[in-house]
Amino acid sequence: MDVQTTAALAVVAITACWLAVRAFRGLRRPGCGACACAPAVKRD
Amino acid sequence: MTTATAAPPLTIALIGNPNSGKSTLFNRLTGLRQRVGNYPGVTVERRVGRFALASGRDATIVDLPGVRSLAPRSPDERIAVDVLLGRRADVAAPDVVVVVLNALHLEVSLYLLQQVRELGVPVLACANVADEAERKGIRIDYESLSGAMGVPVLRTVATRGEGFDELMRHLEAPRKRFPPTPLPEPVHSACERLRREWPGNPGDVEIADALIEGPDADGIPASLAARISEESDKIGPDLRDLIVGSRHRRIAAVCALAVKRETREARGSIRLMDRVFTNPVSGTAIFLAVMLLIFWGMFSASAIPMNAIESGIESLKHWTAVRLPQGMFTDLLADGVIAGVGAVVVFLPQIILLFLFLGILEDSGYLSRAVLLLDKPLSLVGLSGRGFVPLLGSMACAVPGVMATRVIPDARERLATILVAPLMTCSARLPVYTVLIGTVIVGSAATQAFVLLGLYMLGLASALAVALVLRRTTLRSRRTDFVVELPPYRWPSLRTTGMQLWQRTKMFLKRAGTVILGISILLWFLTNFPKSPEPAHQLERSVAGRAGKLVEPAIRPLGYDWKIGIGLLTSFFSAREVFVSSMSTIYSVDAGEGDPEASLARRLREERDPGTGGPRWTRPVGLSLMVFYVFAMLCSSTVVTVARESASWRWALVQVGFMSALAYVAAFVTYRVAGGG
Repeated sequence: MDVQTTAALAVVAITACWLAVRAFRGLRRPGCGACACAPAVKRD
Repeated sequence: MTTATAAPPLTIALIGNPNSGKSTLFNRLTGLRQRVGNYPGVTVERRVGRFALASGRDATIVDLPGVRSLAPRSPDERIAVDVLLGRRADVAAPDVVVVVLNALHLEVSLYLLQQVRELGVPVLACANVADEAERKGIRIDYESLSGAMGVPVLRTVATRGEGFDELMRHLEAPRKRFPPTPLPEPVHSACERLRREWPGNPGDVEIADALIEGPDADGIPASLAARISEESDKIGPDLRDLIVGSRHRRIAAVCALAVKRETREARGSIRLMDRVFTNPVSGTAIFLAVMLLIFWGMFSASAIPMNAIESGIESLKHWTAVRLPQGMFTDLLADGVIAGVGAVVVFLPQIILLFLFLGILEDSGYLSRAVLLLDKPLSLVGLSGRGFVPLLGSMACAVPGVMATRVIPDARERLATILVAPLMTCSARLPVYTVLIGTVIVGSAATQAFVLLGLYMLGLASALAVALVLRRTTLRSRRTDFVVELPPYRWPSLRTTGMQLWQRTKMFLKRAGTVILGISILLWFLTNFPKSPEPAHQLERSVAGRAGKLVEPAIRPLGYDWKIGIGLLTSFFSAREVFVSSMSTIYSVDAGEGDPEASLARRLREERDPGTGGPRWTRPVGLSLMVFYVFAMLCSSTVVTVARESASWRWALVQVGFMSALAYVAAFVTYRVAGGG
């Protein structure tokens, strides 16, 4: 396997792990964090 | 100084109506020294901050949820009563309660102050937004008001810190524990009798509310059901008037003494504007015209910056593909990262424009009037005015919208609102709609704006229709009353609108740089592996391609092929706008003989149907897909939030089920009616 393929697969593997952790954490504590509008909750 | 700092911290509870400026006051006092969490066991936000008093003594301040009354019906109100009475183990009993009054709507705010007075806790009140009230000709005699209410009432303007010196002085002044204001007889005696049998030291407010609501209301000890019925029967039909009516009469008398209003002419013209904006006919016409104008402005004004960003991204992609050494990593950068993230970033100008226009409407006070138009439709479908904020919030994103349903006290009404909130058009749908409109609706910006308005209206109409069905069947309950406060008309503040826009831009870019980047990388991998010996069939034979082929028979009746199937799958497992990044990645990987540097909409238009040789993305396909996105629950964050807020995965799954079914049927009908298949 050449350097480029190894690097690409490493990035994919890290991303997959990161997405899995994020999904797991999201199940425990939702609230998107990514959603463009979380500050829209006006609680005053 | 040493003695002062050694004193135990002063615990302050801050309570007030929504929109009274309570959070502004809290933020101004505490700065960044605050923690936000949840009260254990309930989904009510807990905000605690610290600051130093003038003497150097530490103060801990608890910002209670914004409530309109202390009748403990909603989780927010129950927490507020518990904290005020020192019944929560996680919050120290407050040394002083600061009630934040909205000087613009003093009658409404004084009702809450009156109830806090009935609890007999040490109280201090701030008439906030006093500057705006003065500008509107409302003159408050603070001395008379303090005397009549029996508590110090201070003038404050939290946004500018006015009145804070006096507030600090009062916080440290010796306080007397005011005797509770007794309720009129015979309610007072009934409360006293029930209190002796009621576990956990209830306040008069709770007992009085139980007498009004009857023994079936939430949070009433089962053992007391018969006693409550007995006592309320004994008082007779005047019960509500004795409790609620007497409070209102007292407040009316206090206001007559301490509040003077001026400039009748100015108020007359405001009333006229309110009547025009909230009239079902003229109000609806104005609202539709305003929205159409916004969408038209959004399409027209965003074209140039969007084209510029698109060209920039295409140049970057081209540069990456040409200048970097050939190989998988370069492919990943060009077809995965740049194509995927770039496809969504292109929509930044539109998102900014949409929120700029909505921000101006909100800040000017118009949006509240427009939302008031929903009062009648909402009441017809069994939802109360408390559903306004959640539904309006869902137009930005359903996650905060669903969380905002916490203000709805009735459990069934709240659940119905949660279940329909994701049908409102959120900002994540915008990129999907824009790409599809750009692909299949050929015409002016006005035509495109009209189609977009139709999609927004379809979302609203379906939310109301589903609410009607739910409230007439499984989620039947009495509709709760609600009073809406209309904010004053004012020129939008550049600072507030600018801050809001900055927040949204930051969050939008953060999302593109995290979730969308991650999904694009993963999708690139799934579209490139396993490697096919024939590059022309790479996408088709990849994992993603096979997954798309697997779902193709199910979506074929809607006019969709396996490539759209991949987009729907990635959307389903993440979020709606991922459809756009997925399409971009898929079409980049599968550029074939086409121009790999063409924009997504152009590539979609140029795609040929292998069966017929005609365009693949016909108008029926595009319309069907737009309708599918109106109804389908393609957002994992919302599913999880609904499960948490309804405390049940069952309802979250029911929601996914009915929204998917609606999406499928509506998309099928649209495809057929539009002439597809």
